[in-house]
Amino acid sequence: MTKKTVSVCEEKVYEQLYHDHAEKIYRYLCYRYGDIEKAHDIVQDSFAKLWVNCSKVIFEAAKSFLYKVANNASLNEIRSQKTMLKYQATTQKTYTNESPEFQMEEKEFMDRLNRAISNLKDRQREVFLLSRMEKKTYREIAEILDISVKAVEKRMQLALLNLRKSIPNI
Amino acid sequence: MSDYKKDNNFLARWLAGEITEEEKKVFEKSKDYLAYKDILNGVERFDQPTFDTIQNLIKQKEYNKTYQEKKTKVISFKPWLYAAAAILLVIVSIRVFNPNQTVVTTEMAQTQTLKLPDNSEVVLNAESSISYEAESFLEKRELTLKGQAYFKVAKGSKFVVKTKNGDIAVLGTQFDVFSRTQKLEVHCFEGKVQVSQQKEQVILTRGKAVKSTPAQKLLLFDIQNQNPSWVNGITHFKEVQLKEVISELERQFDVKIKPGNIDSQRMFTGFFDHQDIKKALQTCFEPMNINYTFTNDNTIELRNK
Repeated sequence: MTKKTVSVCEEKVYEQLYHDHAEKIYRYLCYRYGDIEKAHDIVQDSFAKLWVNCSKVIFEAAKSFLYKVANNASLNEIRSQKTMLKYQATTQKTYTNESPEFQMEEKEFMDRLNRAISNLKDRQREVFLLSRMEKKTYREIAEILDISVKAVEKRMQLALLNLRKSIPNI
Repeated sequence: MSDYKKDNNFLARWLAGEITEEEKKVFEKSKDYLAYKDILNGVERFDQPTFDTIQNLIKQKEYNKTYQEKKTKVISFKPWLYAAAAILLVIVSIRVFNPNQTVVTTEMAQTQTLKLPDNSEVVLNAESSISYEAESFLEKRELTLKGQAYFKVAKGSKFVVKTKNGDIAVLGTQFDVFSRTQKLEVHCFEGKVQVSQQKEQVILTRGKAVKSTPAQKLLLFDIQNQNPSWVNGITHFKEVQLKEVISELERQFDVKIKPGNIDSQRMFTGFFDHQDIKKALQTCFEPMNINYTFTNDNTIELRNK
């Protein structure tokens, strides 16, 4: 019984791959670089490379091809000065009865945290955010980054200690 | 209480729920625990970065149309390293197969000046080589030449240059030897030079020269210059066949010259400069009524006008 091979060159297949992976790769790159512009560019380049090489990449390998290209592309990029992560804080509930001071303190804390995350080393930030934002296990992170679970734990530990240092007691 | 800062990845394990109940209780009592809780709760409130898949896919398709993959950089092994490796290999193999034999070779469009162990000087013209035994050279000054070289021999015992077209022996002098294909030519600039070919022998004094071809044996003639002009970057010809001029041009500029329909037996008297190939071709072929054209960077074709 011969299995019908799925060609990445087919528009439908390519679109499916984009739907399945583009956003995940984009988020991963955001966490890694803390720079959404850069993440956008790299995602675009990775998928363009996949399209150009569609005849050489089998469907099953497309995902790892994309991650590999994304990782390599990132290495080639000249590191621009880090911009702060542009995550939006969840909108405050309008009916809250919290005092304005409390709200301001809250905002200040979130800004501080945001900046502290931006200032983490890339390798610590990617581990920390993949774990906290994507709820990935250390094992899953280790697979994505192609490092050991022990190394993931180590980076996680350092990320937490560094964040703690830049957020004084409130 | 175990100090979680020193404990190996305690915080990471705590987050993953991999610590014991006891450890957890101790940690939850500490002041840091609240701070970490604040941090983690704060992070929870961030949104994941948003990505508009549908819009971006449309943009992606546009981008793919114009996308051209950047050429992957191939970091090549530097050419000079190849050259160095090749030279080293040659030297090593010569050492292995022919101990003590020193060989110096010049490529096309290259000249080289070197000092022999007895302080004699040799200037090698393009595509030539000399070999000699370095260790015994002082006792027996003898070397083998292929091509063309100019010698300034230090005074001393007999100095012999062996070529396949004949041997040249001297005492202390300056002379030029040209030995290619069937032709031998020796110019003596100082002292005395003895040229022997088969059973013939000629002794040259200052300002004398001799040449031989299969047709004519050892023909004597006079020279005016103080040293061979090629040492100064000019090649002179006096009544030589055009084909010799062509092969000298090929050697000096590392080019290939196709004679086309011209008569390469014609005689030529003149010179060319080694600096500029265009000028050299002009001075050689213009007076002979010959057109030259470059078919590519290093091939030249000749035609009668």
